[in-house]
Amino acid sequence: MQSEQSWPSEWLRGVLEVCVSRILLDGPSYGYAITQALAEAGLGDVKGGTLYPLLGRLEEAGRVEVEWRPGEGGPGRKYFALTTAGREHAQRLAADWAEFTDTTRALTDAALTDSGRAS
Amino acid sequence: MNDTHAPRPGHMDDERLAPHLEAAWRDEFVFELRMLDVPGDVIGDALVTADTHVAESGETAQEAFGDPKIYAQEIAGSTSRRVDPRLSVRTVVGVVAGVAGTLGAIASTLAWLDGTPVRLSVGMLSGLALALVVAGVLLVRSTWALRLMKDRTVLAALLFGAVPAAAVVGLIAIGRDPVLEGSPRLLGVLSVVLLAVNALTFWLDPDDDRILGPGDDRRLSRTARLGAALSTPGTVAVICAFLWLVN
Repeated sequence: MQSEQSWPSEWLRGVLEVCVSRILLDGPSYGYAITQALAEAGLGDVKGGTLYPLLGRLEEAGRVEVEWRPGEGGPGRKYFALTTAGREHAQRLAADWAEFTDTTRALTDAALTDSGRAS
Repeated sequence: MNDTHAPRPGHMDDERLAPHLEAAWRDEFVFELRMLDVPGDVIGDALVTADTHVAESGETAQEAFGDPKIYAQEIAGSTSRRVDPRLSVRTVVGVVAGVAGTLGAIASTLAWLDGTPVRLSVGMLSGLALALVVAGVLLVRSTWALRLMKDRTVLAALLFGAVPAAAVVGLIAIGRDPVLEGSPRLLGVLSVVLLAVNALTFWLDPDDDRILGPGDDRRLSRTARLGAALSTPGTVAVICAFLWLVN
């Protein structure tokens, strides 16, 4: 885990749906809690401006459904939960991502070895 | 999980829906969503979502969501829901009846106070036609008009206010040849009928696209519907009463 690491935004854009879907596989959650979970996983500070449009697209695609729950003395929270189709999609995304990272690491890990040898 | 909402009493405006968002950011965000024809309930949902987020994270709206215009475009892009921009026949009839009824009521009141017949001149009819054209442009191109009012206020004020008003006055001044002469009472009755048509159309089709928060009552209250229906006739009544008082 590299919680202080600032990953390139292009990488985060590509992996964000995979990671958010993975977090929602654990159960319904709300926006701020999802950003906290992403930060704890080492993905850094994902802003609401990036997260909510993604959640909106997932809702529009029928992969997520929403429920407003009353807050404790404050405004209510919008909870997002995966639908059945969303769960299947999340699992497929995780599998595809694993294959993708295996593929890329098969190529890029050699650079680490070469770098070690060079030094 | 159902798409149900935590209960929130009554209608709330965008300030009450999102008290933790900075006013300038919130206004810009709502304006851009309106420009993109996003429905009021989607705007309300996005406002409350943003508000709860900043309340919990301690960030400002600018820090959490960035530029309100760009964020509004992102939100609009994440939903296919849009306000239907087409005007119903009922709305067009209501607006035309409202404009004609307003001008007719004022003209008949002035003639009645002067004790003279109503004389409709070429200029008056031309002015009425021009007023209807401007009202039509504002209705059909309302998004463009609102954008112009916000970005180029002086130009919009000239284009939609000062220039048409001056043109109407000019037309009335130039085209004084009477084409129609009638009793103030007859025109007054006709104007009341037109204003009643205006009120009826807005009662039946109140153009309700309010910004609603999760759980807000979607039905427009009877009082609000009555207010929308009586706004034009009520204003005309006040103008006519004022003319009578100052006479």
